[in-house]
Amino acid sequence: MDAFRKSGNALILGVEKWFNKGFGNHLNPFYHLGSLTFFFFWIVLVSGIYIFIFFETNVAGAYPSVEYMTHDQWWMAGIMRSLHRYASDAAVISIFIHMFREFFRDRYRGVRWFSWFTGVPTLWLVVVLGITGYWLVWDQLAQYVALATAELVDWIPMIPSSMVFNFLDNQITDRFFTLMAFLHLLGFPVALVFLLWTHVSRISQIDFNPPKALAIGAFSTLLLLSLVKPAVSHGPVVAGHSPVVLHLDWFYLNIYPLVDVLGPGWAWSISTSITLLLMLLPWLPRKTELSPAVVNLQHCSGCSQCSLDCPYGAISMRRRTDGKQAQFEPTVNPTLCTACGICSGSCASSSPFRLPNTTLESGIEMAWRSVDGLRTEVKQKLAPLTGQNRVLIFGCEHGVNVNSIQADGIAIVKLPCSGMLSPSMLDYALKNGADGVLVTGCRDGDCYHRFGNLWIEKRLAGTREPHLVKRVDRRRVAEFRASNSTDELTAMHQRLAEFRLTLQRLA
Amino acid sequence: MGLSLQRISIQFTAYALFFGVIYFLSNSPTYHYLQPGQAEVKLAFKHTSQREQECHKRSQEELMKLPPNMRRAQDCPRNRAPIYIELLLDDQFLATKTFISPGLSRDMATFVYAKYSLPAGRHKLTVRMRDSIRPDGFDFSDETVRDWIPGQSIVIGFQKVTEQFTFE
Repeated sequence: MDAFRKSGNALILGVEKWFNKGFGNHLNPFYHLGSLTFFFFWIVLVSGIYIFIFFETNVAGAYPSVEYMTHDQWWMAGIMRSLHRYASDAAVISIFIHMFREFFRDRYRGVRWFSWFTGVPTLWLVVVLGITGYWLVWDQLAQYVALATAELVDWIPMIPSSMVFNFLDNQITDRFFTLMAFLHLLGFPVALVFLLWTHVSRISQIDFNPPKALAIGAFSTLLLLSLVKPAVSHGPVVAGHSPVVLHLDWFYLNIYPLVDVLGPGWAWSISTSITLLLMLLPWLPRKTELSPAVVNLQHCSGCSQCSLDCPYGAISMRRRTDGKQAQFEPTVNPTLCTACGICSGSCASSSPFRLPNTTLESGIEMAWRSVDGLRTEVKQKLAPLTGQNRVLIFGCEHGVNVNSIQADGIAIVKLPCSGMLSPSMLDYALKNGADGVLVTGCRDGDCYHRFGNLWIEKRLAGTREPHLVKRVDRRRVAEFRASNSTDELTAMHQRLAEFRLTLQRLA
Repeated sequence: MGLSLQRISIQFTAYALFFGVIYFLSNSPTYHYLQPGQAEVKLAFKHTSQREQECHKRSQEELMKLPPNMRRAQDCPRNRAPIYIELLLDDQFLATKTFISPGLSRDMATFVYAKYSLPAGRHKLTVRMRDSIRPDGFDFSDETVRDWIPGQSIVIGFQKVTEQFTFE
């Protein structure tokens, strides 16, 4: 599984590299798949509300009303109908890429299992929502979908009556049709909103909107598609006739040919097996997380910065319990903590200049990677460095592979995330023998722990607490961001060489 | 980053790919539910088959062995016989299928549903049903001769009252 994931990740990184060249890291659609999906849902919602104005929710009126929209009012309702369909298709694309990407990046296990687990039924609901949409047109495709769905439902042994009889010889009633309309227009969308809320409930500071340029690009493409190839219906339902040729929307209706060829039992078995396998993936095998962050109240000022910086909402503030003057104290939810260490970097008490002669404790830190241990490691790694242009690299474990960098005057300290770094640690390194400090992180826009890159960038720029003090010569601090893809090592070496050249000039 | 030629080409390719995938998969490749020149026949009716064992009148001795609240004169085993159906097209086998009564004791009415394609044209369609435990032969049988046009769908039903098949 690990090898499969790694090769898939290499493939994804390769593709994303090209997209970075074309769109720039901050507009790369691969980095905004979740928000793009929400954007497609918005298009579906707005276009759906518009076409509902003209839609007749009864068996006799449904097809003519859709035909009216498609042909008579093609310039508005027709386009809206096409947008409704194509944005739904686009959502399936973004959901699937999102799913594969999270799997290959290994962001579906451990503490992150919940989002993955709840994402699978969400996908099912999206598909069911799409199927009921095709049903409402009540053309030959709808007739086929209705009958095949009924065959699927009838296969379930616990259902005592037969649904399929409703659709033979146009026996469908207005009441049943209204039920389907209710499910598509209200029931399933409400359930989808609830499931989506559950899906994202364990991450904080969610960006629901994609960057404007990306939204405009995606919308324009869908609009162009709606004009070039407007969505049209199949022929009307004819009593005593079965549809012969069907133009299926394969994004939503792919299960039905399976029902025809293999039967409903096999269709259920295959789809249920895939669903169960997907849901159980986080435990195949299970990921062992490192121990969560620990709070040392005696060093905590209750400033809330750790809570603001945590990408997973694992830290909440509560009333102080130790009688100190500060109002609040942080509390860590271990089931949400991914042990990224960002909280440790955000804590003002993580300064290595504190308590120089005793064990340094921070207000919040990782027990397995304490600030004191980090300070000791920095000192130990810098001690043997000789000569000029000595550089200490703080290397993110998920970014470029810094282990391969072996040169005189270079020391490396690895971190689970560059966001774990308190800016004062850079100052400390410069004061203890380093001529320069280089911080590496994941690719721009694609931080493994969501905000690590952003927070360290802001801390160094002095726009987010804790700041890098002004006395530090900024020319002696550099950042480099790249993935762990081997082809980005060259760029890393180049960046390091340039940085050392700068340091040489400063000397 | 400026709008270099490389940047424009990659963006154009990405949006074209997005456009193309939706353009194609939103209604292609076409799916032939029925092959050209084919029609369809569906079996669709609800039927309660005969009991697997006949009811018998309990003797006084048998009744006395039962608790007082369960002393019914008639003993009717609940299980129903499977429904076996044969379809013949121009006296050649088209399909056979057996339907088992649902329910824990297999005593409920069976929803018979199956669909088969057949070549369009003039054909004699024979339907035969066995709903008892008899080893061979059929309890009900009927046939129809008609012209099937491509795409036509005929539903074979069974009238409970008249005990006759219907072709609609």
